[in-house]
Amino acid sequence: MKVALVTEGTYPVHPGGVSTWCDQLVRGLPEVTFEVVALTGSGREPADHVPPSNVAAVRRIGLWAPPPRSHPFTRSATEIFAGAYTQLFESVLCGGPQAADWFESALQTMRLLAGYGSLDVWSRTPVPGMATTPALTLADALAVTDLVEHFLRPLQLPAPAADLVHATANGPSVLVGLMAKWEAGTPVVLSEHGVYLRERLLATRREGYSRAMRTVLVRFFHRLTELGYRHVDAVLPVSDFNARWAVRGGAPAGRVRTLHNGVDPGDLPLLTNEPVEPTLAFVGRIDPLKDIDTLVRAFALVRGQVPAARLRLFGGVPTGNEAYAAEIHRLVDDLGLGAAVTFEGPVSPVTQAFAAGHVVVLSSLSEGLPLTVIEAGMSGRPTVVTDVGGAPEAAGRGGLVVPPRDPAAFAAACIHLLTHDGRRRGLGLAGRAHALAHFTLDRFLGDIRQVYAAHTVAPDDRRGRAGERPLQRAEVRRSDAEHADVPSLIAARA
Amino acid sequence: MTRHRAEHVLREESALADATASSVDPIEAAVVLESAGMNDRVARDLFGAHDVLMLAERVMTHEGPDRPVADPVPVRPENAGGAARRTTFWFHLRGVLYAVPALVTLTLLPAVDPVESALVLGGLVLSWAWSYGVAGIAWAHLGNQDPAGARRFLRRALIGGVLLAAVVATAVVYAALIVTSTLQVDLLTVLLLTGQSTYLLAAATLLMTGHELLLLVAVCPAVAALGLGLTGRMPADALRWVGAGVLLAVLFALAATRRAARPRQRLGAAAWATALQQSCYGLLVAVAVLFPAINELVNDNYDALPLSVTLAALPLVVSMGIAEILLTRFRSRMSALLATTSSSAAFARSARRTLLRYEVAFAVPLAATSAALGVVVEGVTGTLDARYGLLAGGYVVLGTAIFTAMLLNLLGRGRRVLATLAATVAALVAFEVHAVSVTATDTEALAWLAIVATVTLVVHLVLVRRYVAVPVSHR
Repeated sequence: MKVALVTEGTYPVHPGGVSTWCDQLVRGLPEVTFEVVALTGSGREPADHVPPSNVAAVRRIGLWAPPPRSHPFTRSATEIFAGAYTQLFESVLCGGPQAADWFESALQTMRLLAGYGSLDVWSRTPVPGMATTPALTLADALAVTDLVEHFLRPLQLPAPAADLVHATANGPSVLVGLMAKWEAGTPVVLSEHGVYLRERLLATRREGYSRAMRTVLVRFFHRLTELGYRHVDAVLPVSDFNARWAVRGGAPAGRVRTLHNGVDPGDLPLLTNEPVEPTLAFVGRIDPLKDIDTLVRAFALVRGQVPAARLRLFGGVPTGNEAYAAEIHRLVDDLGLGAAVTFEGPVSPVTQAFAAGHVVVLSSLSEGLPLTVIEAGMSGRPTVVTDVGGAPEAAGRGGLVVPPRDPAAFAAACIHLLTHDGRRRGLGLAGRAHALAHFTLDRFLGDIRQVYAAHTVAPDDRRGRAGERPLQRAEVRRSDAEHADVPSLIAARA
Repeated sequence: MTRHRAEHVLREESALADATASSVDPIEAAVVLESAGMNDRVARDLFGAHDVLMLAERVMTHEGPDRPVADPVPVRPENAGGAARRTTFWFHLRGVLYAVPALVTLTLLPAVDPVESALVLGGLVLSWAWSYGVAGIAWAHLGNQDPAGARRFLRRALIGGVLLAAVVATAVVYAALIVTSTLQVDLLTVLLLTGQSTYLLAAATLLMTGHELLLLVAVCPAVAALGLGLTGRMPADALRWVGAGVLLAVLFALAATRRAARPRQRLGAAAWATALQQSCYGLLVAVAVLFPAINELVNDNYDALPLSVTLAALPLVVSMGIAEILLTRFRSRMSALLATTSSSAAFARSARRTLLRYEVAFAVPLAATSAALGVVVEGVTGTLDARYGLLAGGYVVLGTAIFTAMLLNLLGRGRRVLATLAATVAALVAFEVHAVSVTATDTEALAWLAIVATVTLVVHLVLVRRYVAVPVSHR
């Protein structure tokens, strides 16, 4: 079986949780031949992972590199492109019951046009419809066009030739799969670690775009992710929390199946010893989304009840978060916590961090399925987590769940566990049992094998699926009511 | 209600108000609420909504389009570093910085031997083109938000370029001694050629890193020698003064590129192709501007144009500094137009009006400076060579054509510019080929330059009028 594994900004180029997950996947399924399609910034970044021998090829695509060079469009193809682009943004801006179909049809038309020349015509095509949107200036329209081109860059690439496409994120990654589906009937499955739409919308807010521009982009990302949810054969979110977003985003509930991440119990043996001083351990990056300030405030309350308590923060400060880290240091000083709070930096192996605490804490404001909590549970350490995203699923019976941004509630849970040895150890063992039941690597790989087997289609059947593919009857709606396909249109206009 | 719960309710209500006010769509508001810690349970228990999305939809629908608006605070990336080119007060002195070396060369280094002059001119043209290419690559690094990578490239290009220039200069001087009958080229010529290339590379480095002031300091010794020369007290070792200036420029350039680092990422073929394109642009512009000098060398009976005529080039050189300032303002003006216009037709009208204003803003000072210089020359020498008027007129037109080419480059039409400049240079070369057989006069050559420059300007104006009306991003 040959699987095209499509990644964006992760494996094998960048480190991180999703890259580790991909590495586990390709190494855990040696019987499968993988082709990795890595969507990255420039397409030239050095690799962070060395893929195993069953990865037959790694194809890197720079979404933010200059567009691939190709011969320019003919005048007629340019006209059709402008029509498709206008249709794309009408579907984004106008909404309505047909909007999703229009969006898909416009993308299919662009995909076909990519065979006739370079889609860099984007840069010269601020869509007329966009400029008539109230308050949307030409600068907004150009900036939107520029951004959209990057996110739709896969339309210009050859579709992967595989028995199945496994996208590890929605958006451009799924687009790569849909091209294979449109053109060869290849089945596509989607694993979602974060929720692509959420991440894009949060990123869009951080950029300081105008309100009008943000309106267009929010709706564009909504349509793009909806396209993926509607057309992939299976959506495999890593948590029930993410599954809810997939259904909300347009995925038929019957195609959504939560597939938890797995860890190797051999790497995370049960910890039987505890440190001498009552200690809370935090493992994660120093980031506003982890809400470390609530954790520090909660710890100040813990010290009121457990004066010997310590808080050890294991994790680095990502670039751009230096100011936030400085703020946390100031807060520690202001609260008079002094040496009771220590910033330990990154740690490896992570079991060292778990061994350093009686309780593992996570005060996040937003989470997908936090690996730290799963690993802590597997190590037999009880957790205190906030009720966000998939954190409660990850903690299961092995931890206490408290409301986010509530230092008092967080502190109460920590004090309870630090002062009740039996309860704490009981939760630790329950957490281990929960992790063994739901989060082992073997179970994860077994589930993936099942999914691959269920969705791999025999070549003959695939040809049948491809025969029904909508690309064959792609219509340039609105601009061409005669329902001709794009190649004929180009020929006719030429 | 306990105090703790009341605080909790207040906090969630505040988060809800903030999220809906700062969002353009309920789904965005739901994302914001969830990332602020709200979940479906809170939406249900506190607000009676099915989930967070329903809550956001309910609030935004209820409040309608007139709801309070407060856009989110953007998170700007960290400053990419201090070596990216900064627009400072000294940026406005660029024209002077371009003019000083030209003036020094004209005054202190009057070449008397055609072979030596040919070598100096050839070296100047190639170094000029090389500098354009180096600047193009440095720009590509800066475009990647990688000023340390740009500094590293500039430093290496400077060191490598100097070494290459020394080797090439030695080789061509040696070759000139073998294949020509001249005995006027020697070690001094090698130093002259190498120094010329070194200065251009160091100057490019200092300008790219925003150190105009340092470059100004570096040219001081040469300016001093020039001043003494103009007052009839030319120092015997004037060339050493010039050499000191070159050495200073190199030391400053090395200092300006101290905090260098390996590039964050390798540049793609497109960046190198663009640099090559810029290099070709520099080469073509150099040939066009130096055409009168080249003509003097190529024509029989070598007899360099008198200083009073060649001074006509000075306003053009100075105007390139003005062109850079105008270009920066033009880019800002076009960006402002794009940011305030929603109609393509209105944009086209405004853009063309703006274009006209900038063309005039460039051409008028150039013409006025040329005329003023003519008056000064006449005042000093008591007579004005008619060729001055012809050359100055040609340079005014050529300068405006080059400025228009810079605008076209800004509008992303670099290839078109290359094509038109290549045609311009081809026309000038054709004249020289013809002139060899018919022995054309200086006046004919200068008239031909004026004609070709006029045609180039007309073509550039037609192109820029068309492209300026197309809304494109100005980066």
